[in-house]
Amino acid sequence: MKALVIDDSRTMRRIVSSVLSDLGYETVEAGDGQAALDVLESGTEVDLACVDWNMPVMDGLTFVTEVRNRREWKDITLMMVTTESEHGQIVRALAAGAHEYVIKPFTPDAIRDKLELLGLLPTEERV
Amino acid sequence: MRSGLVGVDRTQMLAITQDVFAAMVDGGEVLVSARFGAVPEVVDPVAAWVDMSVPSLGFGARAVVRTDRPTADVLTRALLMMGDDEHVGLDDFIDAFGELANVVGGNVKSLLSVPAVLSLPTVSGQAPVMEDNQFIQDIALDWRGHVFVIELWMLVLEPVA
Amino acid sequence: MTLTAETFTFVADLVRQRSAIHLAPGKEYLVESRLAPLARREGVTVDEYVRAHRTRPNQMTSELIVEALTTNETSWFRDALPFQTLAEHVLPDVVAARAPASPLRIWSAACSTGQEPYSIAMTLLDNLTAPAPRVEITATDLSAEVLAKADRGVYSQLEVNRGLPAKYLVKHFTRVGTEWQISEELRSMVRFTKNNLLDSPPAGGPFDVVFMRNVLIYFDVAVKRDILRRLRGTMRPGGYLVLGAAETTVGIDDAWSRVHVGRSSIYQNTPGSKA
Repeated sequence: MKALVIDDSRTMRRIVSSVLSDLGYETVEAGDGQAALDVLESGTEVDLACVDWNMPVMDGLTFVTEVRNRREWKDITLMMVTTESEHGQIVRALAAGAHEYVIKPFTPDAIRDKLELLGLLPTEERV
Repeated sequence: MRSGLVGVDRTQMLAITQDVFAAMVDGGEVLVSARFGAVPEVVDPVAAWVDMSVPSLGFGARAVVRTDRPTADVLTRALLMMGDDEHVGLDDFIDAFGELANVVGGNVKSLLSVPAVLSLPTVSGQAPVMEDNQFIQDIALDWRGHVFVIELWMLVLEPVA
Repeated sequence: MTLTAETFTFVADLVRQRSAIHLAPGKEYLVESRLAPLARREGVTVDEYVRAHRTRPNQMTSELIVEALTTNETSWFRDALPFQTLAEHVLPDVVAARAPASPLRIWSAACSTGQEPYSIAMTLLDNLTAPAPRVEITATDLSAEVLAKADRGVYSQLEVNRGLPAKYLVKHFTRVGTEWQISEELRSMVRFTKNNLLDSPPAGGPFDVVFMRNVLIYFDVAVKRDILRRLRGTMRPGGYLVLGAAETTVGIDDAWSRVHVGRSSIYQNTPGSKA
């Protein structure tokens, strides 16, 4: 399985990517929403996108809306990973089409638990 | 009084910082505590901050994280999963320390009584100049023997027509 | 007593492979304390327990070790699958089998700070169709302290991040300062009370469904058998028992019928069996 990790902080991209690769994901990274759209436009297929909210150029909410408008990307699971943590912001992100929401700060288990809920743990048949 | 919009107390600032460090650098353990006594003079100060603004009300708040560069380097190594003696480059320091301020600030924003917009972080070798603005609250924290200070300021913004 | 480096490395590798949880050096105390009950049951030290497993590895012991180190009872919808099973298989069956007008009674044993019984309550609200039966969830633990926290229903940001679907967070919780308060609707569905599994079962039965996950692993066979027998006495015939992934009634108390549901198993209190 492949995940696109979108965050303007390289530090946060490394943290999220490291959790995902421990879970068996291959990861690609992008520093803002537009760069992430470019990755998808170039034909890179991903199962999951972890999306920060506040980023330069294009924010995460706009990215989610753009992805949801494109039929060919309908199978991508969108998970916000952001410090935005008001009740109303979570409602906005879900309404825009995000499937899940992880609030920063998070522990590695938080990402794992959400992926388990979504049925997106590659190591499901772990033995 | 507009400062009433920033009803954030020190217990909440401590709780936020404890959660941030426990989750992001300390493997779930709470190693941050409120510091008693004076904050020692900082030799090589660094600061990172984010603003939360409510343009329609001409109001905002700024969360500032202050420490010294060696401490910020320890933090950067922990966040970037680097070795204890690995050199921390300027880019790594700015990115990691800025992200810390972003996560702390985003959580402070959720405590404001009105919805606000979060800025991207700024990282600097000196504390921000805050002359026209109103100091609200600060808390000094101990983390693994290092000192951090979290400050909260109210910002007076140009009103938006 | 300290752990050998070989033991720690072996356990850390095993846990990392199977759960992505990384036990960094310095977490020896965690390995020691979590595996101690398993080792004690065999009458050996943790080092001896792990060494024996390395010499002759088996699936069940691997699962027990990983479970002991990764079990975090503070996760919502922990393991996800049991709640799916509850919604899709257990509920339709027990609702149909229930006497008219009688409430649906559920017991969540060893509920810690309440995430499991509240997850059950959320699952019920989403899956019971009108006219929905009255629901009574009895949630028990040994510790009065965790029960008090569970009853308040106030959780930190880090706690709501653990396995709680975002749609449920916005539907059932409100923010209070840095924390989140669970709704009165959910609180009113759950009654928290202190109980020791080695004593009599709690009031609130007969239960249609019992969640008793990752508890039996800590007891020897004789105690497991006692607990399972007493459990049958407090359950409605035909009611369902949900155990942890590494637990079973098979070979311990054969009055239960194992029911395979997808990749998992649940256990039915066979109608007509003697308690």
